[in-house]
Amino acid sequence: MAAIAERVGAQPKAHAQGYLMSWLTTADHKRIGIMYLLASTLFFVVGGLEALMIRIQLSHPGNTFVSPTLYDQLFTMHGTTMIFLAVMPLFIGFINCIVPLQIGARDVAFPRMNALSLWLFVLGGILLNSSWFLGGAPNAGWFNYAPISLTPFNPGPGIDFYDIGLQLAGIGTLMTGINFIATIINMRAPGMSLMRMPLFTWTTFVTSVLILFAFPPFTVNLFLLMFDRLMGANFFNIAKGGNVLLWQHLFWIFGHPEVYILILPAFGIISEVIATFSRKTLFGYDSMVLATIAIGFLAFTVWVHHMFVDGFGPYVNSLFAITTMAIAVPTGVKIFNWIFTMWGGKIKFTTAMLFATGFIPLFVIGGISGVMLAMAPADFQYNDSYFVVAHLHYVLIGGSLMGVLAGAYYWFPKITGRLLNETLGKWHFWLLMIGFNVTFFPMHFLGLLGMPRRVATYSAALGPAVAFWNLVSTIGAFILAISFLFFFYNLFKTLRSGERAGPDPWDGRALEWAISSPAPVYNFAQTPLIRGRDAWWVEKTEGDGRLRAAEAESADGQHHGIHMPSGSIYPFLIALGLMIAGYGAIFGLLLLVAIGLVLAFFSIHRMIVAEDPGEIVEPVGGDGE
Amino acid sequence: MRPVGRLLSGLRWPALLTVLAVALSGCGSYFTSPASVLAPAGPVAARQLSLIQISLYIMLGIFVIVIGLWGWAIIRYRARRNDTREVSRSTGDSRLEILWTVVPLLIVIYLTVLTVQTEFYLTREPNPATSLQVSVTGHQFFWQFQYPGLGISTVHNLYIPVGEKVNLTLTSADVIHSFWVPELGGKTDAIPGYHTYMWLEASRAGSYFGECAQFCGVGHYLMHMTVIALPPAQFQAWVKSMQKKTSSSSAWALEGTRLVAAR
Ligand SMILES: [Cu+2]
Ligand SMILES: [Cu+2]
Repeated sequence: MAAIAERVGAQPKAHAQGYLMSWLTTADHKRIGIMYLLASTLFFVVGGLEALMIRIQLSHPGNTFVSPTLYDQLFTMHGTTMIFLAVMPLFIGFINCIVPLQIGARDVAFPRMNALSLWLFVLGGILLNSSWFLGGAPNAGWFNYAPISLTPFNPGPGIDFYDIGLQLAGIGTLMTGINFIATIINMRAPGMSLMRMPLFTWTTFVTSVLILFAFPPFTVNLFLLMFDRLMGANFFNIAKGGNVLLWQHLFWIFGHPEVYILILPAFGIISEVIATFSRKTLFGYDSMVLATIAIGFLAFTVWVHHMFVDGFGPYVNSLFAITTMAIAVPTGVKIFNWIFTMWGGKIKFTTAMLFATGFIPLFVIGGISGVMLAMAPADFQYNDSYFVVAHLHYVLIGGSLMGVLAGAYYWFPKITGRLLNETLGKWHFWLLMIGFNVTFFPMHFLGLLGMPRRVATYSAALGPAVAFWNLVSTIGAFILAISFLFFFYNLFKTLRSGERAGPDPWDGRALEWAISSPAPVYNFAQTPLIRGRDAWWVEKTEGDGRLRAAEAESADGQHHGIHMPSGSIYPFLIALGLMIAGYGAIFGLLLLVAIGLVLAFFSIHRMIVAEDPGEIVEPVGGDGE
Repeated sequence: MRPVGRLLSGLRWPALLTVLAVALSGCGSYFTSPASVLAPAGPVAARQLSLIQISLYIMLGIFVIVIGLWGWAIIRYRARRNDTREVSRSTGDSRLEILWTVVPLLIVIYLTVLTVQTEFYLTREPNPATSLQVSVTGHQFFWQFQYPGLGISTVHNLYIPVGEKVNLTLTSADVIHSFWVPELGGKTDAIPGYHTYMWLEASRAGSYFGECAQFCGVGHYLMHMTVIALPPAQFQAWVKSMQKKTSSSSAWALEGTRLVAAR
């Protein structure tokens, strides 16, 4: 990490303590992004190991590799970790590293709030995972339905870890959403009109709006559950007039937009990568933007499709089936636009492009099963069966994770200054394609053959076909895991001795490729003037290959220092205080709650009133060198 | 290396090899099971399967077209050595864009019509005068069936007459469960504090594998049931024999099942 730090412009202090402090206190969006990527990769590994244990357990009928008690914790933590602590923060990592560069900004709108988002996510994730060692992990599924999540059915602390851990991480995500809405609206360089923004910035913007509206219902839900479990309230307790479906509605009003929070940034990345390596501008830019907005809007109108078997009757089910199927239309528009971006281009199959092109068939399969699931009467059969498991992994791995990996190979040089090894990358891609399909395609069959989800094991009475496809799936899971060994080895090797990337290794189109790799602390020595869509491509093909400054430096024509926000330890301390209070709440230790809250509010107060002089940074040379 | 050892022993190699050997030798089909959505035994499951098939065929058609275009694009337009082609400067084509908005929209409208028709067919409650009424209660981790008109109560086994609509009213005694007998029809949740409804009909006599589909706790995977469809005369005989038994015996049966499930 020292190597990265040097190149992202940090000044490592002579002693280790100062170095650690520089990361704990940083407000630099690039370093925050790197920490997001690092932490979520670690959580991804944890979630992956949980998945492997699940697949070993299901490799044949009646297996006793893990007990049902442990199995329930494994599938709960696998889902919760992958969604909240791996895939979503991986995207937030890329958003942090790249979006300010794409719009020609020096940082985000609220740099220290950004640091607070990071630390809430990291500490919330650690709190959630510490449940393994402190009385048992949550065991009611990532969806955590009431009443099985309530104390009478679930007396251990696991659910409280879920509740408090996700509250912490969730507040962080909500602030990320607010931050990037403000950043994208307010901090675009002159000339960067909305309809000139790169697609990744656009999808980030819509994703941020989804976060803003989707996370509050989830937070409310978590608070209601906390009141029920820790303070004896009865929101979900039917014996006292509560209602168990309240949880389901609030959860899916959040949960469905959440799946678009997990896929829209991938759409953005795929758009950037396909355009770059086809050497063409994106086909149908306007309709791409419109489709993104339409998907974002429709995301809030479909939540009952997760509840088709709740018996709401034909009118409700029909309505939500229609809105759900409608989403297929803007999604289809995007698929065709990507294909026609490649049409007539000169496609260069780098590893990033392999992942972006491979995304299309996998995501189309996930979309097809999505439309099939939307047909409510058919969903009566699919619902809560392995068919849904197949569908969601085609969307989340075939869609979201393929986007993450395309982004990883594409932006790694921009973030670290080094190019990932292409040979290892191709091994990763092909093994992943084989392993992924072998793991998840048979799950469609398993669902249709009557295997329900979340079963700790299945009876041999379900027949040899069910046993066979389960075994195939387990073999696939190991191939998938091996593909990631290539990736992690590649990361490790590249950070140590990878080939250095210039500022623009891919002949890129957006603004991030106009500055050195990694970007200097201040990003742009002078705020650039944006003269068209594909802002950097325009300068390379129609200009003189240099960014133009938005305004003359100053009257005397001299370079002046750049004013950057200074770091602060308080975001970390706020998150730490809330984490301590969280442990206090989980274990009923009021003193600990008080200590944590005092630390948090003291830090909030300090962060608000403390004078922030900022730092003056001297730019090194001009841009594009 | 104990964890690795445990991991390898967890896979139980001989059992795995047997499964593989059986599968590869072609004994038994890869697409049959005693709980298959693909083998409907009643009108509900049959309607659902036909909806699944129609949508699958349409979707396969779309898949072929999309993947055809995709495959053509990546083969035809890949950069070659000494490639002197000019890159197309196209930025969009509104006729094409309208085409791939309108055509999927029409397909979606067609699927919507099918969906709504089937949805109303499946949720139309059968006439109570001509259909058997059964109250289904989910428990951790077993199913209880009560026949209010007949004064009978059973656990695990649901007896129904062939060729007659059975109207199920579902609820739960504890957490949410989901009633699923794939060969007879899709599922409906049993929710504490609610009554939900579904109807089923078996077209032929037999016993059908049923299970709980909604995760309901540590015994979720054990929560099976059997639906036994009897010809009407035999069903009447079963009803008579059940009615002779005292209600206390069914209470004992319930308690016994609870103990078995708890083990
Ligand atoms: Cu959804
Ligand atoms: Cu159950």
